[in-house]
Amino acid sequence: MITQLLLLILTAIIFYGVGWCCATRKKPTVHSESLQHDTDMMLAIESYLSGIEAFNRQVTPVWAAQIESSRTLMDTALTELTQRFDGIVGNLDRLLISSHVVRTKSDDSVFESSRDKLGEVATSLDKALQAKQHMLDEIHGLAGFIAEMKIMATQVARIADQTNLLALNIAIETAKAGDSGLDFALIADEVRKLSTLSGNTGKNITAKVEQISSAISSTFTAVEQNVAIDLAESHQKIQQVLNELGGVFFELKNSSDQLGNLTQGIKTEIAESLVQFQFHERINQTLSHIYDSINWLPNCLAQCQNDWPHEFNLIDIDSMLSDLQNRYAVQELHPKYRTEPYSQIQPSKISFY
Amino acid sequence: MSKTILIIDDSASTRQVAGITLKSAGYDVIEAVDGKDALSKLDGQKIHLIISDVNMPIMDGISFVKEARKLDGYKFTPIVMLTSELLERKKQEGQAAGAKAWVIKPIQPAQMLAAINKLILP
Repeated sequence: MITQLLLLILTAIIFYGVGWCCATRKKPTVHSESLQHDTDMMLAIESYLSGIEAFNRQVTPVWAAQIESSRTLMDTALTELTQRFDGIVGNLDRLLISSHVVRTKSDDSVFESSRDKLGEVATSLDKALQAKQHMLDEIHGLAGFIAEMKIMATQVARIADQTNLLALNIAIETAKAGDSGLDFALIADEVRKLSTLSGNTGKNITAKVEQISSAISSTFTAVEQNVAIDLAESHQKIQQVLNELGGVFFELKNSSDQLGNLTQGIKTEIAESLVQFQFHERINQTLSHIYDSINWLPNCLAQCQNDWPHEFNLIDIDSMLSDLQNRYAVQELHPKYRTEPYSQIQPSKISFY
Repeated sequence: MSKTILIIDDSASTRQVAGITLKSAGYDVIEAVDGKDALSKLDGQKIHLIISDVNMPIMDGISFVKEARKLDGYKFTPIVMLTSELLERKKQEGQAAGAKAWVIKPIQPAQMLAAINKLILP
């Protein structure tokens, strides 16, 4: 577009200048004044053409350099941008892989397996508590033996009392028998000693049995209470742990699912956005053609002035436009359509051979 | 095992953009800057599909296709021309040289992958 505009402006200026000169030259005059006028005109045209040449030499290279510089900057920036996008997509892929690993590990089968294992622990605990209960039953059985032992101790004490009484009676009868009963008195003494000893032993047995009974009773009471607490607390704690774990697993799985979906969505957005970068090549092509055209202009104008001042060749606009048209491979960028707005992008075409 | 695709384009950004789409789809990607560079990278390794630009310096896409078809192991490798070229003449040159498809940019990633799936070697 810029190229064509420049060409038109320059062509118009040149035609005007040449036309004016030709019009002036068509009026021959024999007067020296007219000759002077023609000479002045030729000098003016020479000066004018020199100006155009200077414009070509000095201004057009600046345009060309600026366009080339812009094209290079754009190319560099887009290359870096696509590299960054490549890095972002790579990181998203790694995130998706991590998310997939977490989701795999936190699915329901893991939670079920954990719950089964905790259940096995609870079963083992129950068995331990049952064994403890059995022991309590055995201890309870001991209490019965203790009662029997108490009875036996009482009987021993009674036997000792009876024996003592017997010894006393023997002593009385022996005393009545006088000297003939002396031997029996000795026997009675021994029996009395024996009964005293039996009585003391019986008391000791009773005392010990009382102590044992008291200890067993205390132990039994304490253990019985602990068994009940252990069982209830254990089940409660296990259930609490399971509930908390279940909640954590559920939240973790949900978060991981959301993260995976978001990541995939971002990847899709990036991929679709990158489609726009494909226009970079067309922009690059267009700027390259403009650069070539601007560099071509000085030669074109120089050719027009080749035969000056004998004649002035007109710029072959049709040839220039035809050449430009052949350079543009893309329909939207043809000079032919330069007056039309850049309309909706045509959908891609895939042709299979 | 993932399949390998060779991308040939003198534009680094174009190669990267195509590479992002192909890598996301699970393909391994090899890049070349022009036809001559691509020929040097063929070197006997298994390539399942080639995507090539047309207008490139040193060796253009059409010339590359002709040369690749002369090489053992690459006579039947599917080659897709991915280009801005709209001229019918160029498209016919691509067909004559041995390309399997002519794709005009811009192209959506899904369209590119669908075309590749249709052509890629097993």
